Amino acid sequence: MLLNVLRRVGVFAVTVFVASLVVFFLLGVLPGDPARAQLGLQASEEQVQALREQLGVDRPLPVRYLEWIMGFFTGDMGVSYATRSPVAPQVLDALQVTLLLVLGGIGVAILIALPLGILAAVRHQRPDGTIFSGLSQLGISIPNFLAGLLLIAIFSVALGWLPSGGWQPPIAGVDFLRHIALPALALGLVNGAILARYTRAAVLEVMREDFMRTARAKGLKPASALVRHGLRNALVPVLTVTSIEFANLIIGAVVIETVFVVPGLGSTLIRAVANRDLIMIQSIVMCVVVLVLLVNLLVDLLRPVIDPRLRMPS
Amino acid sequence: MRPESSQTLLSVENLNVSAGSEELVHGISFDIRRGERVGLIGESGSGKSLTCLSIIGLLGGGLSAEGRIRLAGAAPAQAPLDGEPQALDLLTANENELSGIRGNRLSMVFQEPMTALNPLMKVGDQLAEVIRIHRPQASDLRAEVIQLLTSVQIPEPGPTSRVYPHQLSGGQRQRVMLAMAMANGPELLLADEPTTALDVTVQKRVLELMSQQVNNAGSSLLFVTHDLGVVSEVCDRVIIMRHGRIVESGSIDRVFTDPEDPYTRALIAASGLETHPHTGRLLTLESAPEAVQTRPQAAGAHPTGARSPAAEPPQAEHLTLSADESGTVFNRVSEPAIRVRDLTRRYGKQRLFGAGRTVTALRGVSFDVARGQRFGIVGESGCGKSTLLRLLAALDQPTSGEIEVTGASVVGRPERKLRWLRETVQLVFQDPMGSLDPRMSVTDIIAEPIHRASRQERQGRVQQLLEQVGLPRSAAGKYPHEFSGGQRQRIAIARALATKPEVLIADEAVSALDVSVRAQVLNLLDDLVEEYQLTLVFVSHDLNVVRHSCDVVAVMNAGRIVECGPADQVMESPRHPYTAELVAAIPRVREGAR
Repeated sequence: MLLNVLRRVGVFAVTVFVASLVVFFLLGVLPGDPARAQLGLQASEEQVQALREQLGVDRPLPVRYLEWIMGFFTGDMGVSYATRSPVAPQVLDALQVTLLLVLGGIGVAILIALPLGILAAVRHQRPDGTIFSGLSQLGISIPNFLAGLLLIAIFSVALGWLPSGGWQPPIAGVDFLRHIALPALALGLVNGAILARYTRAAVLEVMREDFMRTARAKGLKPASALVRHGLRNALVPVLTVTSIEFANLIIGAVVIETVFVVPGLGSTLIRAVANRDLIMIQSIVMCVVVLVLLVNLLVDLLRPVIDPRLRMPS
Repeated sequence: MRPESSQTLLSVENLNVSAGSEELVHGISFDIRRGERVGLIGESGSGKSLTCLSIIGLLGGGLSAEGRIRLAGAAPAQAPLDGEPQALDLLTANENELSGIRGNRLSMVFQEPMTALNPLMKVGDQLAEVIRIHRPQASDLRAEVIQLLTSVQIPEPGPTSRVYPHQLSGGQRQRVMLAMAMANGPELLLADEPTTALDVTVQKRVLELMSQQVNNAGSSLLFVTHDLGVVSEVCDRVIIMRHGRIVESGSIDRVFTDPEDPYTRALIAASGLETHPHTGRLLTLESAPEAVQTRPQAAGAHPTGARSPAAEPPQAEHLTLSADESGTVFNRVSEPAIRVRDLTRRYGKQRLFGAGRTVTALRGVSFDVARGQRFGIVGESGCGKSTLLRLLAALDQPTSGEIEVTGASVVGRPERKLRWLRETVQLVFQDPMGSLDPRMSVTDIIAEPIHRASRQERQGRVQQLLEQVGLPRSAAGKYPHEFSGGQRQRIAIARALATKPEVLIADEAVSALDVSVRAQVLNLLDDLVEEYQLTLVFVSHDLNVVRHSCDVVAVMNAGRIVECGPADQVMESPRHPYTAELVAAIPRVREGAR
């Protein structure tokens, strides 16, 4: 068991390392000189060269990689090419906002997916079950920025209940909730619909299993059989899909943050790209990569907890 | 004697089961008395399982039952204090009434022990659950669970109650299922093919256990099976079903000694692998009724009766595994079709982290198969017979050892140098549905291995092969799902013969078939082996089938051949203790029947 955990963590560390190489060198070989980008076309070659030395981009790539990656994991992500201020505080602030948004989105997705998916499965040959399936089908086909715009049109413009954009930190309490509600909903709706389809399939499959028939033969009523024996079995595939969805949600958050003017990783990333702020881009992309890998690691570790068959005999 | 009374416990009246507009069970009626043990026998599609599931009210979606299934009021000891015990119609009972009865007064053991238990729940918890559902006031659940596990002879019941189902063997899981079914002392135990998925030696123990449990609890038993031998071991009375109707019922001794219905007669003949007194061929549903008039020969008495003496290979030597457990070459012949020496196969390898887990599937197996010989391999699951076949067909590489087929080595050759082998050796598998591509027509399936032939030649060959395996020419354009299991196996055989192979490997080729179909397919194999001068390697868990179909049999256990010799000799006077155990475990139709 412990060995298994160590092995997974080891794989995680190696993947992070390889990913950092890919992120750094891919961005490093991109055309476009950050110093030239800062100073504009009018600047003389000497000025540019001076700035290059100041930024440290004149040194060889491997040296810059080592400096960056050591710094990244000690909390010093370097200095922004554009603003000359340290990158770390900006990235961490944005990361916190995006994390909250994504967690909200996942929460919404699960709240939608589990009941909808289970109901669609349990009542799959009846009219209401078909309606539940249809709803999730509809949800899948709406892009999340459109869902965001629709939500703004309804809840901000028409009803005036919630703000159409902006952000408040969690300390703000109710105001925080009012600001996160719509973006989280927009993010979670679509992914919830996708998750609902997987949940439906997983529950349907479990209901056909022999052990569900055994549960009924023991004297359990259909609903208790599903709750006691079915759901936990259906949870394993649903959990796996949720972890894959998580990466999707972060990508989705980039778009949603723009729609709702939320100062998260997405908007910071877009600004950094516009400024050719390479070190900022690297750090943000690396944060996202580590986050996604971390979630996958967590799910990998969680699955054997749910399913004893996945536990390696020690 | 068992406490059998004349009191009727369950009475099925005019039961119909239909799927949509199609009726599958046609108005059958029968009774089960308290303490009585009834066998419900039939081949696939006879409606036996549907009948069983109707009783416990667990028919699958899309199926509906009509008629009456009356369950007598609870036995006096368990009856409610107020008023007379009331009979209940299980078909009209509501979910509340039914769930109160299931697992309590009626309980069930299913066929597939591997999937019938919840994989995420500890065995003990699953047992405790059935007690808690019906006896919420039960105090010491843990002690009761241990006692239940002990009663089904699970070694170390304490630790076993804390493991998950996948950590148990098939036989142990079926014991747990039995314990679960018996937990609340049911009045009727329903068992749907409970031992079909188990090895014979395990089956024997589970059957004994089931008899004993039912006896102790004074329960009635409805035992659904296709296997007449198994029924003989546990039942008093049998009901024979065919195509959704009861064709015959009565006490087991009467039905098996003096069957009235021609189908019953044919079924008994086919189950016992009886052969026609004149032709020596296996009796089938068609040939049995007339042949049974003149007393048939029991299986094995003249297993090779039909064959000309010229085709008879030299008598094989009867050997058992030597004391030092190595070096014995079984069935040694000169110029063999297949020559295997010191064959070893280990799976898994040493890992960098942790102890490397390796499984040794074969431990130094050596034998020959003569040209034209029919060589049987028997053994229980996990004995290494499937691994051996994969190696013979060069679908896998051995860890060490040598295999020669028609004089040429097949070990360590890359696939492109094995083209000849793919034509020389062909396989027929157990599952006739799974081994045929559902999206290919029969013509494409059969003609696929034929290379370098014009379209016309291929079609001509397909027609010829279909005829040889006894299928109509019209079959050529159809798809596998349009055929029955027996027909599909014929298609698989036709495909195997398309390359005109010298060696045919049949891997449990008749195990998934009904007994009546089994006889037909075995007869067909017999004919084809002779016609094509095939060397046959026939693998089966069923000793009777191997005895009928093979000249020489090798018995495998734990990755070794433990005994090998002429089929009759090995079966009649086994020399190795394992073979003796295997032979003793074969369920037999009651002696009275002979």
